[in-house]
Amino acid sequence: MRFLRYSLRRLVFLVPQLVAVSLIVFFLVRLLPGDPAYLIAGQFATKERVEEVRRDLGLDQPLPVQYVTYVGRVLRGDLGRSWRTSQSVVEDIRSRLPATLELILSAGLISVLLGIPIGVYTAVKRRGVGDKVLFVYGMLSGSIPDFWLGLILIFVFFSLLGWLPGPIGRLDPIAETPATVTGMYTIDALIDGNWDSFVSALQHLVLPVATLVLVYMTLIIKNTRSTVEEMLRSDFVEHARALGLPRSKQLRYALHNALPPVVTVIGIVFWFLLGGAVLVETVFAWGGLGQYGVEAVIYSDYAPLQAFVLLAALFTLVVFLLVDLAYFTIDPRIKT
Amino acid sequence: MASLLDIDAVSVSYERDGKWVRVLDEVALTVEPGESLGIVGESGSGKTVLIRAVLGLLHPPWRIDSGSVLLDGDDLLKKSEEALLRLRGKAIAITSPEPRKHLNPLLRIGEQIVNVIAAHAKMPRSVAMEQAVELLTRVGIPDPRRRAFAYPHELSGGMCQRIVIAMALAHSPKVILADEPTAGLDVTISRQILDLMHDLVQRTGSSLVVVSRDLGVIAHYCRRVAVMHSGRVVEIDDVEHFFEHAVHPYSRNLLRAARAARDHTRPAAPNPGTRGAPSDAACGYASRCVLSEPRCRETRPSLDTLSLGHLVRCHRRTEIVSAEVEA
Amino acid sequence: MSSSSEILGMASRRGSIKRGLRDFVLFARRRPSVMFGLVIVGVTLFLALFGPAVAPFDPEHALPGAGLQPPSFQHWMGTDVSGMDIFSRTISAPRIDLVIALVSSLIAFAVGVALGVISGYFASNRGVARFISEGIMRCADILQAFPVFIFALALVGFRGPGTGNVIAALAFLNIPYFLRVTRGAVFQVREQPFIEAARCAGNSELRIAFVHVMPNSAGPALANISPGIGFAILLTSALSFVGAGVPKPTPEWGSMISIGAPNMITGQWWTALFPGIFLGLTVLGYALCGDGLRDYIDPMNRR
Repeated sequence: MRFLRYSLRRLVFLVPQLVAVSLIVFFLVRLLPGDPAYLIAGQFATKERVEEVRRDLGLDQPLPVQYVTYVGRVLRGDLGRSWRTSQSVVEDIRSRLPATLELILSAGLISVLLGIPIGVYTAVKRRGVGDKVLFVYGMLSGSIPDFWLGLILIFVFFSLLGWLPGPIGRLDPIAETPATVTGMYTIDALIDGNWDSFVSALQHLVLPVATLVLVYMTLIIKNTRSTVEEMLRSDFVEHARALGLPRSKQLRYALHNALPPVVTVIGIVFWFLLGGAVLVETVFAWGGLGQYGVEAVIYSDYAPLQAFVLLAALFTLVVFLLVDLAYFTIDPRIKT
Repeated sequence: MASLLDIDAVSVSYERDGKWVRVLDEVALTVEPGESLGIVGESGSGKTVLIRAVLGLLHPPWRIDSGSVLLDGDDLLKKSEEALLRLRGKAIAITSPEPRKHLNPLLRIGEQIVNVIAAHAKMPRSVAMEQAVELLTRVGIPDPRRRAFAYPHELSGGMCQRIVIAMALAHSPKVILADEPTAGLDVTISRQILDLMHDLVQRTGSSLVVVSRDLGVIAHYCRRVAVMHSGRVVEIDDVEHFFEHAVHPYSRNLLRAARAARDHTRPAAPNPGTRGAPSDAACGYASRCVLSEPRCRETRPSLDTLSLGHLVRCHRRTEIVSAEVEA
Repeated sequence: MSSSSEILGMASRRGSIKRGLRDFVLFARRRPSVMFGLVIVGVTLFLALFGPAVAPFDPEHALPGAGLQPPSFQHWMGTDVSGMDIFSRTISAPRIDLVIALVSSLIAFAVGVALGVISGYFASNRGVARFISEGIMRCADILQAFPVFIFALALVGFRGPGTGNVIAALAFLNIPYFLRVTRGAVFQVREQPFIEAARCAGNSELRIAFVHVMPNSAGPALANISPGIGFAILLTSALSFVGAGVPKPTPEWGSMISIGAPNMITGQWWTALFPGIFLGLTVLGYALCGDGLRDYIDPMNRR
């Protein structure tokens, strides 16, 4: 009951946040120096062309009118048209979103499933060989660019060893695209019963996911480790020890209390993963939203870019909403 | 009659910046079955370190240099962590000076008490829960069945302290170490808590060790008192005798301050001077003592018996006793 | 907070900056990781100043017919697809990266600290002042609703590529961070007695905020400039990698990696390897330096 009330409150709070975000996206384009019409029309455009573009984008209207039309369009599901793909942005997004989600979810899941146990283990058993290894790994993964790491992995596992397929997208060209259910090839192939496609999709997924995991898992490991260490040294765990509670119980107390900060870090990692996914998609020609956004930037494809930024912000807001909700279920001290 | 708890020449050091600093210097105390001992001293005197040393809760950078702690003849300092876990909470228990900090913030208190019960006895959870509720009643928590579902942050300081006491009593331990049981509580609540503890201890026959900065507390609820300063025990006596015949200059200062507080008069200004770690070659109180002589800064006084049950660590004790000097 | 005011107080006295620096180097001697970071910072600064001058080949000049040569005595790191010497380009890259990182960090620092002071100092006042301070915080919050790289991408995307825009994007992005950190410090500093004294002496609130509070709250932000620079370099190369950053012929690690990427896949490993290694080491160096600086300032000379 408490939970429902809290989640409703947070959901309602989401609306003004979205409004604020849309305002920012809106103003990013219109208020910054530089005329987007010129950008879009291109360097060699004639004056008439620029004017045409400007009218097209409605840039000749007063600002408040522009904003209202913009919001109106978004709410109606019209996000504009990409002049590159000649399709509606909504259609473009629909076909590309699952690819990105597949990437982010897999990477996130693996980072959490591997990272937390490693973090807990190193916190409990301190000063082992693992400690030194982890320290070096932590330092390195925070500094190495994810796109470069992807290239290195491709070089080693594809060019040198030939164990995994190259960066040509999500599926072998000869493999059959599974019937669309979720849009994620691995899941769809399983549902379809198409074993070959499943294997192919999985093989193509390995390197990009590995790249993301190697770079971003450190955050989880480091934070889990320091939080658990802190909890193990806390007063109430000490007191539990003083009252003769077995070690396993002491550990449970510590882990339970370490959960809230760790949940926050998981949220942050997903937040980072979105940015990382953009780069990784470019390296691996993944054909997801990230690549779409990058291309929109390079070719000044205005409508997709705007939609892309909006989606990214929405994703962030949702992730942090989920984190807040999780926090709320775990920690009874949060007031409704 | 062998003492229940025999702390014998326990010394503890602490490592800082590569050097070992002695924090407890050959502390020796005994607690008889069913008796109550008060340990009084200012912060930094080593009282809490002593408690932790007794329970085997010290870890690096702390180190036990020497000594033994015999509980019913069994040396606790020689036991493994597993063995100690079996004894803690069962044969010997502790309360804490900051109860709220020492409770798990994410668990309901009933659950936490059940965990303490279950740590040393096998029983179905429902039975343990019943016992927990019964404990809550015993420590005077109103509406215990409902309160058991509360979280620590929903309860007042006094209630948290009662819960900590309930946890300490769960297995009717032979010795209870109460570390600053009234810290942070207002006067009325303090009174209630102390009366409660005293009452419970009387009924169960446990021994009680009360560690406090407040002499008044110890005066009321303990039969014997030990005064600690700079990591050493400087005086041990029966409480009643102590109030008339305390010898050590520090003890006398404490008494003066306590009386002044009670009578609402201003005590004499406290002596300035360093409060430091005990060094082998001096009395730890020398720098603040009005009676200090050169030998006080050169040799460490030993804890000697003055009369039955009365021990003092001071070079000038005989002079003070015979009222040759005014301490 | 007193230690940061000590540092800044020290720094404001002539010649003490030199002493502070020397003390820091001595401190670094005891910590090998910080020493390593300091070395890297030194090397990159040197390369930024003299890189293109000491490079054996012109970093922007393509040698026809010399494309895709593996590392050799003549070309220490080989050549890329257009025949440009990779070694020369690699050591010339710090210049543009550092310029971008330093300028954007300084702008972000200046604006962030100023805004942090305003929003922190006037946070509990009534009326307009409070509205402004809350408003600043809300804006910072909303800005953080965008994943960093995507926001940088968007800023550059909406304004067009080019070095100036990259600087602007990075500066804009880092402001909330410096803002928050300073604001926290301001909350502590403004409770100090000497602020009350300044108030009694008749100073206006604005004057107090900027003359007394600001220098004493800038410590945490200062300590975070170094990792901020590392991060800016990473971001710049990421932007350049996707083609939204530094224009093509200018040597920049990220753009070099993007040029070399297709070749790397077909087996010419040298085309993208070296810039990445340098990039990673540089970011690592600045991060370690930043850690060291943080430990050095607070608490003073720990262990």
